[in-house]
Amino acid sequence: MDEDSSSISRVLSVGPVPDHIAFIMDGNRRYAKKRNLLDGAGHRSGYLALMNMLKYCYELGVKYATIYAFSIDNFRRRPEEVQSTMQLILEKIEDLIKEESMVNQYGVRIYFLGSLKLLSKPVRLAAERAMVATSGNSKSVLSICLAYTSSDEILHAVQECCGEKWDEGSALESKGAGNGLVFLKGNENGKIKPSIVVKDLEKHMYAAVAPDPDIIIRTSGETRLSNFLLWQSANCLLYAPPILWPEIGLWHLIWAVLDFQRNFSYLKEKTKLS
Amino acid sequence: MEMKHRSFLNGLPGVEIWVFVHFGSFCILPSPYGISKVLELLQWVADIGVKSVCLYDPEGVLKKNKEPIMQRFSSANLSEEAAVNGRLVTRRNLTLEFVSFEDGKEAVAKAANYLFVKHYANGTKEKSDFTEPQMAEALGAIGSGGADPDLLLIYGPTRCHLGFPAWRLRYTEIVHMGPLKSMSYGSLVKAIFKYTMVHQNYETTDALVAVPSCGQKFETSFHPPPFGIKENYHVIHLHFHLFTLFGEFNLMKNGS
Repeated sequence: MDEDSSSISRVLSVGPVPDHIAFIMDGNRRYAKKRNLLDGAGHRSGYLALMNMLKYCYELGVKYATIYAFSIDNFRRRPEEVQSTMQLILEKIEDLIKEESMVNQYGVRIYFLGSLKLLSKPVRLAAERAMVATSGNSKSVLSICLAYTSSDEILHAVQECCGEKWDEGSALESKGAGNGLVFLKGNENGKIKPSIVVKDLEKHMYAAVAPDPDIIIRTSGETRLSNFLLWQSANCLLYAPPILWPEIGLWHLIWAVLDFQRNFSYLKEKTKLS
Repeated sequence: MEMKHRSFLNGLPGVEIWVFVHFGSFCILPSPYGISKVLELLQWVADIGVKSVCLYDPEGVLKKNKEPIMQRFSSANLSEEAAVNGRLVTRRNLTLEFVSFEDGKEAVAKAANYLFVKHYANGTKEKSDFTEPQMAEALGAIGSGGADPDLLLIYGPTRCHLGFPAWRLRYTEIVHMGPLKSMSYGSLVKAIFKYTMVHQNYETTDALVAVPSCGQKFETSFHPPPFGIKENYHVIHLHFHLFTLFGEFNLMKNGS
């Protein structure tokens, strides 16, 4: 960060600084069309913009950043586009874990959130390698949502909770201490004590590696969340600047942080109530 | 500039827009002033031709104080089913729903328990993963179902959905309208108009579309319309006509 940016960062730090900012990086393809660039060039410009934004965030003291890299819905795109996007993702994951990358410079631990089993083997293995390679980093966190939607995340959490309760019940049964959990065989009715609560679900959310986001920034002026962090964004400021993702810069981040600071008391009060 | 027609959605068969009006700062209400603002807003919404409105406030104040609202928009033909499901059809054919924070995460936990009892009750663990339709069915069974809103209008100090049920927010356009005390008819019309202009970035069609009211939504800015949506193209064309109608009117500036 240059001197001016550092000064701005110090000024912003006088007020509350968001702990976690999430990004929906919308507009790469439109940017490429607007600039008459080749296919894929928009995504590459978007990647550069992302690296800059992450640097600004970590310099400002934002510890957690989450990005929406690839939605489960995106698999419905043309196969050749999915293929080229996956190839780019693979390439960039490899870049991230290089020695000289921003990730190591800022001590960033990487998590990949989503239904990773939907990814091709090379991408899945690269993601696993990145998580292992950065597991020793502890200054900041970057969560990359890949093959992710909130509805899939909620379903996954529900599935895990049901499985957990089943295992608990089975273990008790085998010890002879049913404790209200009785699984009767055949067609008889079982007495099962429903006991899944919100905390159980939250434990199994993919995004449980980070606190709830303070700000979600979606570029291109789109006002939807597109199935991103819906569970986690109850008291989160939603900011939708009307610029394409590769055009995002420091000033947009500053604006978002100032808006967050302006609404901090209100959002904090709402968080307590919920 | 004058508004030539208020009920510009009238007379368009099959057009149905669901508008969820979300009050972020409703915790300071109810007061006679607060409820009167809600009634005024609902009147505008009904005049515009919106068919269904859901009112959300995190603390459930509106849910507990819905009598004055229902008295104003009451229907003599309230069906039992509608009452049980929490949706009330009014005399003006305006469906009202009252939602609060407990219909969000708590409802998902209840739905999880429902699914556990349903799929594990026979003593055997089913191997297949739960699906979205099963989840939707579970939410409906515990009284927290309902279609995803097309548009969420937030009346409050900031653009924040304050725990609106996550399952229903997937592809909803979220618009911040400012504080309730500053609400205006013009802003409301502008928000709905802007919604109908949302270009969903189809790759195979250049029609301006709105999401059909079939209870299922797709994230269309990322992919072409999937097979399931073809039978609803007639709704898409009607909304295209709606865009044309808007083009004939001069909207009142700073509406009143």
